[in-house]
Amino acid sequence: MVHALHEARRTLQEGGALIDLRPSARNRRVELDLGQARLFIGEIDSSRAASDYLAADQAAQALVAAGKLQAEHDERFEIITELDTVADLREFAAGLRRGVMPAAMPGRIEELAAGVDYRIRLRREMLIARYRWRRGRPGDAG
Amino acid sequence: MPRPGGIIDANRRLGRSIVAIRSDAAGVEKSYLRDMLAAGERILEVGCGAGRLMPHYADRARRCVGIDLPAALARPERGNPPGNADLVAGSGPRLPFRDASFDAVIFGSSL
Repeated sequence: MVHALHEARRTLQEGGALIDLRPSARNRRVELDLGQARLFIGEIDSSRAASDYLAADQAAQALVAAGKLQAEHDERFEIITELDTVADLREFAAGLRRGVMPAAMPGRIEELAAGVDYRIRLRREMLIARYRWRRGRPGDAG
Repeated sequence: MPRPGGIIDANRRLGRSIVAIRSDAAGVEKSYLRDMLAAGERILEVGCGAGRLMPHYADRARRCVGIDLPAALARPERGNPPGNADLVAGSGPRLPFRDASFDAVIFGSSL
């Protein structure tokens, strides 16, 4: 990660931008949309990926602290994914590499949505940050 | 019972088998990513995978290069890269490019 950042810096011209776009360390939130009401059902556990995201944050912050990288912009936004059925939710969760859905979640949705129109909403927080490479100090090879 | 609906079906465009999923991921990411880039830049995307993000910004770039491991580049869902884009096999810690050859580097979930 640190090596990749240094390599990225090498390939950038002076004043170039480094953009980091990725999910935040927060879990996906699962909601049941009943039209008139939206119920929070629970979260899909993303803790398996949290250490990677934390390491990425630390690598970038270390370069900022060293004066090699200037933080220009940092913003969080949400991506909403909608699913039509509990079966779709199960299939979606099965395809996640590092997210784990609580075993009881599908049953809870089926129970709450029995006999009514519904849609399942997954909310995932993303972050996007832009850094600017600073001119290296004399003797700075990094 | 499920309600019919229809926001952007990014998953269908990506070739996924699940068509009952609708996500605004592509549109939202595109909007935020384009705001970060200036027009006419030479852009490197590290960990480009199947090239999902590249169409979001390629039309604004002078040249785009995506780099990832060979297995990632060979994913079946990958479409043809944009006309001004090249895909290169390699990895982030050892980029096969000259110094100062890009105006922007994107890490899309790859940092």
